[in-house]
Amino acid sequence: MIEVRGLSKKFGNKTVLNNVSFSVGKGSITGIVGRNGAGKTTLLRALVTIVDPDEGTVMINDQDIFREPKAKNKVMYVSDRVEALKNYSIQQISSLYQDVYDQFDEAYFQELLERFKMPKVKKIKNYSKGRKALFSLILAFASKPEYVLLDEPTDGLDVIVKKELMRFLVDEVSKEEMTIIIATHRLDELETLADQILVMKDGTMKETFQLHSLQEDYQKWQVVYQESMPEALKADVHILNQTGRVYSLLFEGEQEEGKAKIEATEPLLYEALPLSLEDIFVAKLGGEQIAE
Amino acid sequence: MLNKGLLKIDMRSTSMVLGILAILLFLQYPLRAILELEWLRSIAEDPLNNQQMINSQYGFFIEDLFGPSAFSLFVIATILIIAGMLIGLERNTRRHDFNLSLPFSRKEIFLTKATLGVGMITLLFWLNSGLTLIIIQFSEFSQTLSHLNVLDMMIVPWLSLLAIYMFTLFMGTISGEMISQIVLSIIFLIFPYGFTMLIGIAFTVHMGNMGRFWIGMDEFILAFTIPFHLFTVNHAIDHISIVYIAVSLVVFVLSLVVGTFLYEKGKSEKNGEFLLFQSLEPIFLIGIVACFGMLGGTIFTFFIWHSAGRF
Repeated sequence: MIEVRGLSKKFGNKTVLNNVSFSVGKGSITGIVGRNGAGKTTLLRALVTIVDPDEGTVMINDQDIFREPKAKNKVMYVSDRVEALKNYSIQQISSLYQDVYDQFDEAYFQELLERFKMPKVKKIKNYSKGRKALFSLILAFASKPEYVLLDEPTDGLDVIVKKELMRFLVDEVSKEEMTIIIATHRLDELETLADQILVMKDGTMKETFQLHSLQEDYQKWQVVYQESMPEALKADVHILNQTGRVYSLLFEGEQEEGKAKIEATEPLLYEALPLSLEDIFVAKLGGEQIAE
Repeated sequence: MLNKGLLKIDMRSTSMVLGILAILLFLQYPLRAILELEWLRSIAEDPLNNQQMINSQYGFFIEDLFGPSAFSLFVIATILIIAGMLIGLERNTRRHDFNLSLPFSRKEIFLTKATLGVGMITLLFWLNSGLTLIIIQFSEFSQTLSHLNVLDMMIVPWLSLLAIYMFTLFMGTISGEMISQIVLSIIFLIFPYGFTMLIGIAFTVHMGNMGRFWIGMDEFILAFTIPFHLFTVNHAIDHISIVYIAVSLVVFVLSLVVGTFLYEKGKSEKNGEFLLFQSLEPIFLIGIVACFGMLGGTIFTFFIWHSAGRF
C-alpha cells in the first residue's frame, strides 16, 4: 500500500503541494488528474524521493521511503526515464537493471521486447518517441515492481501506440497484483482504465472519486424550458452548458430524486445523457480549470 | 555498500574523460621516462661529457620526471571535469532524477561517485608512476632512483589530486550545474594564495610597507593552495611536505564529510541554477564583488605604476 501523509512542498514562494494525503491499495489503477501546474508531476516525483517534501512523508508497505530508500525497490517511476539512458544499448540497460533491481526478470524483458516487436537498435536514443515510451514500460514491468508511477504516459503518442500501451497496462495489472498510479490530464483515457480518480488543483487534493460508483452518484440531464431554468433548481444542480433554453445539468444524488426535482420545474423536455468524467470535473472544479 | 549498478552509471558517464586521464598520466610518467632515458643515454655516450657531469644529470632526471610539469595542469583540469561530469553535468541532464528515483540513498549515490574518482585516480596514478619506476629500475640508470623522494614526488602529488577531486565533488553539492561547479572549484582551490596576494597588494598600495606582511610567507600560503603542491619539489621550508600532506588530507576528509551531508540536503528543483542553496548567495555576492574589486584595483595599480615608470 502507498500512503501519502500530509505532503507539502514549496518552490520558492509558490506552494506546489499543500498537505496532500491519500492512500492507494494493491492491485488498482489510480488516476491523478489536474491541469498543467496542478502539482501532479511534483507529487509523483516526491513518491520516489526525487523531490524532497518540506513536510509529510510517503509510506510504501509501511516503510518510510525517505528513511528507507530500499523500499523504492518495489516502485518504478516511468517518466522520460529512458532519456537518462539514451546512450545505452538494450543489453546494457538490461544489465544495469539487473544490478539495481534484484527481481528484474531478464527472460520476461526479452519476451516483452519480442511481443511488441521492438527493433534492435544500437542505442535507445535511436527509438522513436512512441517506442521509447513503450520501452520504458517494458523495462518497468520487467522489473516486477509492486507499484508503477506513470507521468503523462501517452503524451505525444499516436493513436496506435497509445492503444498498444493501454492494452499492455491492463494486461499487466490483470496478471499481477500490481498498483498503477497515472498522472495525466487526459480524462478520456482514465475513464476506461482507472478504479479511482484523485483530482488535484493548485497543489491540493480536491476530490476523490471511485469510478464504479460514479454512475450511481451523479446523473447528467439535458433539459429544455419554455423560457429559462427556474432559480429554485439552480441550487441543486451544476450547469454544465447552456445554449439558449437548452441546459445540460449535472445532478448529484439518486437518479429518481433528480428526476423528481426536474419534473417539478415543468420543463418542456428532459432526458438523461451518458455521463463522462469530464462532466464531473467541469461541474466540480470550474470548467476550463480542469477539463480540456 | 556500493552498488554495481550505480558504479556502472557513473563509470559510463565518465569513461571517456577517465580514458583521457589515463593517457595524460601515461604521457606524464612512463612515456616521459622512456624519452628522458634516451636523453640520458645520449649524454652518457657523448665522449665530451665526464662522469661528474653525467652524475649531476641523474638528480635532474628524477626531479624532471616526478617534479612539476605542464602535464600536471592538464591532469588537474581533467580531474575537475570528471567531478563536474559526475555531479554538475548530471544535474544538467535527466540522470540526476533517474539516480534519485533508484532504490538507493543519496549518501550511497554520493559515496559511489567519491569512490569511483578516488579509486580511478589512485589506480591510474600508481599504475603509471609504478610502471615508470620499473622502467627506470630495469634500465642501465637504475642508480638514479636514489634521488627519488617518495614523499615529495609521489605521495604529495597523489594526495593533492585526490583532495582536488574531492573538493570539486563537494563544490558540486552546493552548485546547480557543471560550469558553476568547475568555476567555483577553481576559484576556491587557488583562493588562499589569490586572496592573500590581493590583500597584500591592496595594503601595499594604501598603507605602504604594511602590505609586505605576507612576503616570506609565500610557501606557507602555497601549502594551503592545493594545486601548487603539484608544481613544487624543492622547498625553502623544512618538512613543509608534511604540511602539504596534512592540508590535502584535511581538505579531502572535510570535503567528503560535508559533501555527503550537503548532497543529501540539496533540492533537485534547484538544478540548473548557479547555487543550490539560496542562503549562500549573499556570501558569494559579497565575496565576488570584494575580490573583483581588489583585482580591478591591482590591475589599475600596475597600470599606473607602469605608466609612472616604477617598474
